[in-house]
This record gives sequence, structure tokens and C-alpha cells, in this order.
Amino acid sequence: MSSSEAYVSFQGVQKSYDGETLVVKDLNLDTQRGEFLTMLGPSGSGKSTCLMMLAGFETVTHGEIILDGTSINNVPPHKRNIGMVFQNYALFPHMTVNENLAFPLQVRKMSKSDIEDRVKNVLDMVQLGSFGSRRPMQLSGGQQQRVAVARSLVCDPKAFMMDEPLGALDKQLREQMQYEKKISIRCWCNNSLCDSRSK
Amino acid sequence: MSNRIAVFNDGVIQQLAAPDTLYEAPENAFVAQFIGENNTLYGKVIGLDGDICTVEAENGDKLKALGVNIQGVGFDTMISLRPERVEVNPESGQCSSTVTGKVEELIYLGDHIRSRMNVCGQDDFIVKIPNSANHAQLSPGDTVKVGWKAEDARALDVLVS
Repeated sequence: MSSSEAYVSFQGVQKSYDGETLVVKDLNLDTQRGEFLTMLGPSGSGKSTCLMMLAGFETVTHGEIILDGTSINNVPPHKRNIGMVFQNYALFPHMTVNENLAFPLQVRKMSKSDIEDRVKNVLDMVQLGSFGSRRPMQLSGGQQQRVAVARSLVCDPKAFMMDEPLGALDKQLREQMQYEKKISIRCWCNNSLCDSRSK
Repeated sequence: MSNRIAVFNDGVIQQLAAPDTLYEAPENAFVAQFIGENNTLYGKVIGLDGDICTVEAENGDKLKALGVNIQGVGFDTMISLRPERVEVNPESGQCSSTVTGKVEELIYLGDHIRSRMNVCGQDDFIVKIPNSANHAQLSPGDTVKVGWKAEDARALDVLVS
């Protein structure tokens, strides 16, 4: 595959929730493999809808979404292999960090020893290696976010998305994460698409 | 921190570009106002010479601007100009547009002084005066010259709000 070829491609994508008003109008957007793209706009401008359509949580009203050369319009979310970090992280509160990270792999019927290896690797990557036995509530907001990032990367996704990645953090932490992310995201993953309302 | 930013509004990508391009060279009024702070001056295009157009502001001042997104001579436009690209009391020949501004308000912000002025009949014109060694000393009520380079003033579409 040549480097100029689109990796994630929205082709003439439209979305309407009520069958009348288009909240996304004829979206054409090509991103390259390894590109880090941010979507910026006021609330209600269609950013999150685009992420949700790419993740598969919303259907496409018209047009096509291509991921790595294949149309994913009719592929259910859990088979798209896309990592997503939600604004509120959506960690399982009753599970430890290790259990949160193992869950997506257990669902995929991976062997126990492979799961242990992967969980350890991904936790080290976000520099939380010694926090595996804690529950989410025993972590700070920034640490929880790193667990959420780790959980979305543990399945080795084709694309990686964050919805409002800095929205739930306080100002100081936001600035710190902005700086850290700049360095880390490129190490964490090859393919990312990022949605942010913050300027 | 991104390779590219897609600016969304009303279900449509308004501009897709690298962060510095979005800030330095917005292609329409929405992007100019959404990304960072911008002054807006309303007027009518009365002349066009290559890329540079002449705009008559609402108070009759004639301004030079880069014609980015204009319909042509005789049409309304909105000039977009970053507060940090406005010079106070510019040396002659430094700026292609120089007009009179009246200082309405000054806010001291340490590294710069934020000055709200009445320029071209609009009292919401912001000038950022860097707190450098020999910066202009202003007081509210002062009348000063303000100027800018034509290429820093972008003549854009008029945003319907």
C-alpha cells in the first residue's frame, strides 16, 4: 500500500437522525496511515457523529466509510477493530485495572498467558505498571484516562479515537496531558483520529 | 499537536489544514472567528488590484486587505485581522493601511497590554501591545495611529449569524 493512499476515508457521508435534517452533510475526508487528525468545531457541528459512525455506534445514512481499503458500513462495531476512548472513560468500576484491560481480550477468546503479557505491556506503555490491582476509583483522573487509553490499545486496533480527550481533566492536568500526549501518542499508536472541542 | 485539524460547522468541514495554516490563513469568516482571536472590520470592496483589494469601512476609512474570499468589487466583506498583527504608531512605510484609533480600555496582562480601541467606527477592535522595552505608553482616551500590512488583513465572506 502506497503512503499516499487513504487509510480512513469518508466518501460522501451523510447522517440524519430524523430523516429530515442532515447533521453531517456530504463529508469527504481522507486520512493517511499514521496521521493524527483533530476534529474541531462548536457543539452540534457533527464531530462526534462522525466518530460514532466510524466506530460503528451510528449508522451511515448515505455514503461510505473505508478503513484500510475495505468498506465498513455493514461491519458491526466489535468487528471493526477500532480503539475508542470515551469522554468519561467508561471504565468498569467493579473491576481492577488489570481486569479492565483483560476484558476485551477475554471476549476475543485469547489464551490466559497471552492476555497477561498484553496487559502488562500496555500498562507499562502508559506508565502505570504498578497500578494493575487498583480499581478505577482509586486512581486520579489523569491515571484513569491512561487506563482508558491502554484498554483501547490492548487489542492492537487499526485506528484509535478519543472523544473530548481533555474535557474531563482539570486545567493543570489538561496542560500536562497536552504536553505528555504530544510525545506519547505517536509512540502509543500508529493510527489515530482525535476529536476535541478544546481550542 | 495534530498533523491536521478539520474544523467542523453545520455538518460540513469548513477547512482542513495544518494548525499553523488554520491560524495564519483561514479561508472563511467562520474559521477566522473560531480559531483564536480575530478583529473583524466590515466594509465594501471598492477596488481590486491583483490579490490586494481596497475596502471602504463603515466610517469611510479606506483599508488594504488580501482578497481571500470576496465576491468582487461592490460586494460586502469582512476583514479579519489578528490583534498581534496591528502596529501602534507605525513608522511611515511600514504598513499598507494606517487609520486612527481611539483607546477605549487597557488591560494589563503582564507579557502584553490588551487595548480595546475604536477603529473604523467599531469600538471592539483589540490590539495586543507586547510589553517590550520601548512599547507604546497609552492611556484611555488617547488617539493613536494603528496600522497593518495588507497581507495580514484577510478580506473574507460576511458571516450570517
